[in-house]
Amino acid sequence: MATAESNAASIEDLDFPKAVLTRLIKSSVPDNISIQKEARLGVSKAATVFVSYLAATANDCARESGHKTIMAADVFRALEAVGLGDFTDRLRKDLDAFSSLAKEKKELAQRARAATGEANPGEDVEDDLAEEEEEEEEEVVQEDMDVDDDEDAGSDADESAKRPRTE
Amino acid sequence: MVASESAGAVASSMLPAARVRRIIKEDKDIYACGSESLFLISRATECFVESLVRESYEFSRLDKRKTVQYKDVAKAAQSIEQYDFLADIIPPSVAIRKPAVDS
Repeated sequence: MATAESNAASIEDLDFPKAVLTRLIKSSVPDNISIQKEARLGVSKAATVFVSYLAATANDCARESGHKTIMAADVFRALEAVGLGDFTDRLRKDLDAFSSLAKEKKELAQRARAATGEANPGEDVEDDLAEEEEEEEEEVVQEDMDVDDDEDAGSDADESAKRPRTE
Repeated sequence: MVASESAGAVASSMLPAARVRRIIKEDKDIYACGSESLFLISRATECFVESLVRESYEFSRLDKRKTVQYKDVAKAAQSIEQYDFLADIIPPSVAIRKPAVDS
């Protein structure tokens, strides 16, 4: 099952920006309520751990469904699994909005490219990367990381997660 | 002014995607995560924070305080079953007891 605890020591260092958390926290309480610094820090750590916890659970769901990439359906299943099914209705609407927005952005970009004419192949690498960014299924893949194979203490799980290396 | 936001739906998360991605990548068991999933996890985290803070606030209200303190968050983490995973992250503060005998 999900092992948020085993990753806890390192991921606690990956806090969200203070300004973002503060805004989020303040929007959850009435205006006249203040938050103690230690309380904010606690919530901040909780947020980071939650990301890890939900992602790990969604990953389990993905594996159970026979695929390696975490898909939206896996996240929804994971939310049910951790007892947060109440979030589902709201998040489905958000996902629709997100998809519509992504589609709009893509169409705008295509229109902009058509207006300025085609870039010479190979010349505008940045444009190509920007286009990749707008692909709806931009994937976050482990291989993109700077991974030194010898660095981490390997486990069997690591080996199965890695793609075969191409020299 | 995006039409898709008119129904109260939120089309983008206020949590920086790069940070969420980084946290997810820390987990070596995770092979890949689609952009939709990344968005959903971000939004779910916002909902979670909102929920945790609201619960914490309830405890400060019980104490008739206008400041949400750490102990309120710790109580909220303890009192809600779905928050069991937070047990080690937001432990209840342990009071240091003074020795009864003067040295």
